[in-house]
Amino acid sequence: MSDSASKLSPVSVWALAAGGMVGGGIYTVLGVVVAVSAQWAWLSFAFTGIIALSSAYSYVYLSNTFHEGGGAFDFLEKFNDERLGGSLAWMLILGYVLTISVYAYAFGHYVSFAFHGGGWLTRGLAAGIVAALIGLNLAGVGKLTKVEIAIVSVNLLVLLGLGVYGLTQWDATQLTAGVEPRPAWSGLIGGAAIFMAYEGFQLLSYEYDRIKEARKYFMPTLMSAVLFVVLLYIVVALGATVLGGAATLIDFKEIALSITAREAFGETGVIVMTVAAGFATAAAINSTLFSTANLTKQIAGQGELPAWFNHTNGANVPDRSIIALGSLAGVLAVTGSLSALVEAASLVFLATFGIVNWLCWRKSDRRRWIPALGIGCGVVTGLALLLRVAIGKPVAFGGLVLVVVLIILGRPFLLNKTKNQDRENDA
Amino acid sequence: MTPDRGCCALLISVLLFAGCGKPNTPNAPAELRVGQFLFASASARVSLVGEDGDSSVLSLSYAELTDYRAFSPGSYTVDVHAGGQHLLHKTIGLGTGGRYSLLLAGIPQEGQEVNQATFGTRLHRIFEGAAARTDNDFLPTLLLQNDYFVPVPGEGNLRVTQLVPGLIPVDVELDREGDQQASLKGIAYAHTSDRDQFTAGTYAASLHLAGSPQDRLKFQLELDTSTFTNVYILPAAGDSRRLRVVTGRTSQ
Repeated sequence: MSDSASKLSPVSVWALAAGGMVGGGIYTVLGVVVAVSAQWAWLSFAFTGIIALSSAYSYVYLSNTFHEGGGAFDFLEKFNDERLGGSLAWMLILGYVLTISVYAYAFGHYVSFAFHGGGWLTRGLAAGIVAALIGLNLAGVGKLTKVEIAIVSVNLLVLLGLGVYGLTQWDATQLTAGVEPRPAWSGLIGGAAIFMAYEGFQLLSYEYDRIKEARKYFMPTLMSAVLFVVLLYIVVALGATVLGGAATLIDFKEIALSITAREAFGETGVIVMTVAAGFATAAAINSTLFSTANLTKQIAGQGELPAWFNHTNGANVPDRSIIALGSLAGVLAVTGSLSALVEAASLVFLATFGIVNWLCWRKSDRRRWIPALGIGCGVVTGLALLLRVAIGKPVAFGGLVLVVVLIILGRPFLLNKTKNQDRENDA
Repeated sequence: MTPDRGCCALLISVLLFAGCGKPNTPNAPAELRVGQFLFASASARVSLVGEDGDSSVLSLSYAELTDYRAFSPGSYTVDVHAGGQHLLHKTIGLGTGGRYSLLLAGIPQEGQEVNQATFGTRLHRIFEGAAARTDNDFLPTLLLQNDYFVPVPGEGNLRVTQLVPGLIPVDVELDREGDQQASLKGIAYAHTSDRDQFTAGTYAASLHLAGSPQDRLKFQLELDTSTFTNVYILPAAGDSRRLRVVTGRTSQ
């Protein structure tokens, strides 16, 4: 196969970007955002969509400028800010681990609900899917681009169908069914709680070298994919709430879309939604685990992580990274609560996107208002999210602060120690 | 597949999927029942006024849980009066075909403000919305519960709500034919357990303070597959040290 033929076409890039975002996001966050914003849940998706759009612009702008694959870590390296780059890399890896755990959590709940399973089956499925995908990755199967595109297409169709059907049944009373109506500003806080639903597009920046005529097509393709997902989330937020009712989506937030499909299409709807959610979350776990393990290996290779993570197996797979990250995500999926995982991941990606927007603002000399808009909206959203976590989950907030402090202060110490050990071993 | 064909396939699939739904049932009424669990209030008056001017007034004695009543779907303003005081003024939404329980809990204070709430409770409501659950210093509170449930063959749905001001979290143990079957752990004041499913049948239920082996209350519970059973734990009238339960059942 020629090099050109093996490259990702614009349609493939579009599908992978849209699927990367939708692949686990909307299945888990809808009930969380409806609880906070009720009839303004759609506004939450619209507001945070502005951050996603400006961040997508910044990612593509920086990728095109440096003309090579890489994400926030690589961009910071180009700006010779290795200290911040190293800390961000660790935070980003933590964010990906949290994201994988949210997808595994969703997989366990959606599949278990279809079989009337209890807590043990749910936890077993969440742990099982991560274990299975660790195994597949170790065997060298890696990123299944064509399979992922097929899954993404079906997934988008199912969600769009559900949302459109909900809109055809329009009933405004359902948007506040069983809850107190909320003021419009609650849309901002709702958006803060679920920002991770938009993180998936940035995995494409790692694939920059594989994109056909990236300079020409990457910007319009990625921007249109993000815009499509923003609109899809708005349609699904409105349509699903009309079908299921606000209180029901909140009470069954772990399986909100299966409950909605049950209300609209009966048991057939549950089966279709379970298949869509199961495949979408599994594909999202696979691609995130694959990309994160490779990022970890790359970072370890540049001395920003212990060299232990740089190890590969016979299939040239970063085996230790895959096992360590996957296992951590599996444990979090089994022991964590949905909103805590979603909020922690959202914080990490808000910080990451903020840094990328800031780099783009520094680097560009025109259209600087785009990254500036992303930074402004991101700061407001981040503050709202910090307050929400501090008030609602003070213990988790304390833990999060501790992790950030450990990353910023403990990382240089740990790296110095491992480097000294390596030197002693060499001597 | 070319992009044009892909778009056509996408559009057709969406329309097909969207066309397969259950027919809409416009204007199916919402159903609401009200539980008066305001401790030390022998009676309370609850009025609901809809956007279209429809109103309904209920006078309820302590520990009374009404049957479901039909309401037009929409937003309602709820006002609660007890002991000659206006305690609560809230707006709630009732959805088409939904079934809900409106629960009044807490202890009215002499000379209190309408909707009096602690600073912490206000913050929780701002940042958590409908998911906010606080003890609010045991001031009068209105809880709107959604009684939707998913029937499971051979199993009954159960949810327990703890409404005893000042009581530490409780555990509820369920025994069926002498074998301990399950338990619902750590239900704090103004909180509910998850909707849990248990094998249909008759259970001997016992209530403990969390971590304590001593029974505080024993009661019998009947779970069947087509019914959602809600248990509300309350202080007995006039004696906050004694507990009682009120049970509400929602049929499919």
